[in-house]
Amino acid sequence: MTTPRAELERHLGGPLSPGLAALSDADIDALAKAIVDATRSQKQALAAAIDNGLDIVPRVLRGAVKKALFG
Amino acid sequence: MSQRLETSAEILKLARLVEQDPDQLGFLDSVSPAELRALREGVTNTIFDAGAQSLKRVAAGAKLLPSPLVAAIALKSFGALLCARAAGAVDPGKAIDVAKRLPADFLVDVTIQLDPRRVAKIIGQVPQELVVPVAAELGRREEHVTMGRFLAYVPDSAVVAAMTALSDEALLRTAFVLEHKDRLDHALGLLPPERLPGIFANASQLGLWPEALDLLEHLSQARRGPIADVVAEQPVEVIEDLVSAVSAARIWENLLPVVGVMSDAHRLRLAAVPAFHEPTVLGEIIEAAAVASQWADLLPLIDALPDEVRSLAADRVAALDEKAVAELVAAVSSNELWPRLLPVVRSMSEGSRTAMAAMAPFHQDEVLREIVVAAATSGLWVDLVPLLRVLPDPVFAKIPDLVVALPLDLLTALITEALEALEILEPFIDILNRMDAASLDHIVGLIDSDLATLGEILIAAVIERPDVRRVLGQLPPDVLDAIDRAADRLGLRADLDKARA
Repeated sequence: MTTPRAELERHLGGPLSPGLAALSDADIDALAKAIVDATRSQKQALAAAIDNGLDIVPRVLRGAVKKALFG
Repeated sequence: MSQRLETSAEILKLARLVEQDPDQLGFLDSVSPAELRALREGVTNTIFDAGAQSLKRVAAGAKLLPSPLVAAIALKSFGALLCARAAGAVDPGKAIDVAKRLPADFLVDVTIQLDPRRVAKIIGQVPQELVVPVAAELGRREEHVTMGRFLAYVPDSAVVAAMTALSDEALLRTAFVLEHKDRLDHALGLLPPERLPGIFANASQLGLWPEALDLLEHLSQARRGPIADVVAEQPVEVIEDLVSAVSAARIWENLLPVVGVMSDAHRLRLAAVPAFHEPTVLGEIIEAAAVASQWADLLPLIDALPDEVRSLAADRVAALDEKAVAELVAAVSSNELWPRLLPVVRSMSEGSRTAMAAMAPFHQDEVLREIVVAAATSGLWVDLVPLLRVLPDPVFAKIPDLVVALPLDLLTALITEALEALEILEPFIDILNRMDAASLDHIVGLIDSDLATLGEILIAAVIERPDVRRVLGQLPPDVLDAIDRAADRLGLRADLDKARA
């Protein structure tokens, strides 16, 4: 499981910068959790948008169209 | 921009991205803005990279369909989020053509979901007739962070159109979180001239002084001056509110440059407001100036304070440690601010002045030379004397050589001013009495010279001023002899002798 610090480092593409590294563990946890929640929520919203976007496609064709459009 | 405000703006942007209340991220206030920006951009990339390849296919499909159909599908089926994510891969011309067919509300929804960096080419071509309603709606929805990111990529004309569509409050809040604030001065310069003063006149009512000061900081000096004067013209209660807001937010480093750029008359008006006279406030201001080396902005404010308060502030300056005083002296020296500092030193209590005069920064030869030249040039002998009186003796001993090295016009000016009052004449006589033989010869030579008016000035003082006559009697004998010779030369010897008798 990714640690909160590793989660932040993943977004930064490298080690934590000094100001972020100096945050308390509790603050790092809170920040990482907010970011994880936001990225997850965005991912879910995009998935839902894609599903909704296929509403106008006849149900039987949706699988093929979804695969063609969204991979 | 001050680090504190810049961090505060970055927290607002990060909070918007991760859908949090900014207060919940308040623990980030010690992190530098550059670090928060890097984190925000990293998270933005993570979010927007998700499904990027797939969304390119959606964009490719859009290219093959006519714009009205794409607009209909976008509105009725795809929705704002999907459109925003796919937009980066759509040909800009096509995207604009589709956007023109969509309602403003929907475009606003899309704009909120965009990463402007990925659709910069599209944003840059959005026509003004789309910018205005979108900007107005973003303002209404208080989507200031979105607006701030969006405006970084639109041309000047669109920035002006958007800012015109915004209320004063929305404009201040948007400018605060704007990306690339280096554009602000130019963009605001394109607004109608009455707009900016109006915004600052309303800053107190809006409770947005930090945002207003941040905006001012990004204006050019030429534009900032008149606006700073508008701030000073506000009613006392508004200025009290400003002081309170700045104190609470600890952003004196933002207010000081504003005070520094005001006209002298406006600074006097501002400095007369009692809120600036509170010892706590004075302490905060001086501490902030010391931390940020803002002496060039602080000294004019201290100068403008009423006498009693100036003394209080001056004593606070004197209470700084020697390192801070060294920085103060260096800043005063490099900015030629002696005419600002000397009156402050004069305002100090004797104890404070003595303590400051004992500090090494005031003992440097070049600093002493600058002080003497500034006093002579700007008529500040009256302000310099209190400092001279408390300099350690070995340091004071350097002053005669500096005085004698003054050009004739400055020496004449200095003597003329010194003759104005006994308390400032006596130290000058003391200096003359401490000159070495060569220096005294120089002074005597000047009095003897037909070109100089020194002799005339001194003779007039002896004849017309009994109080001065007594003090001048303590001049070195060689100088008194030179005055006599000048009197002979000018046909004033009888008058001189009569006065002395």
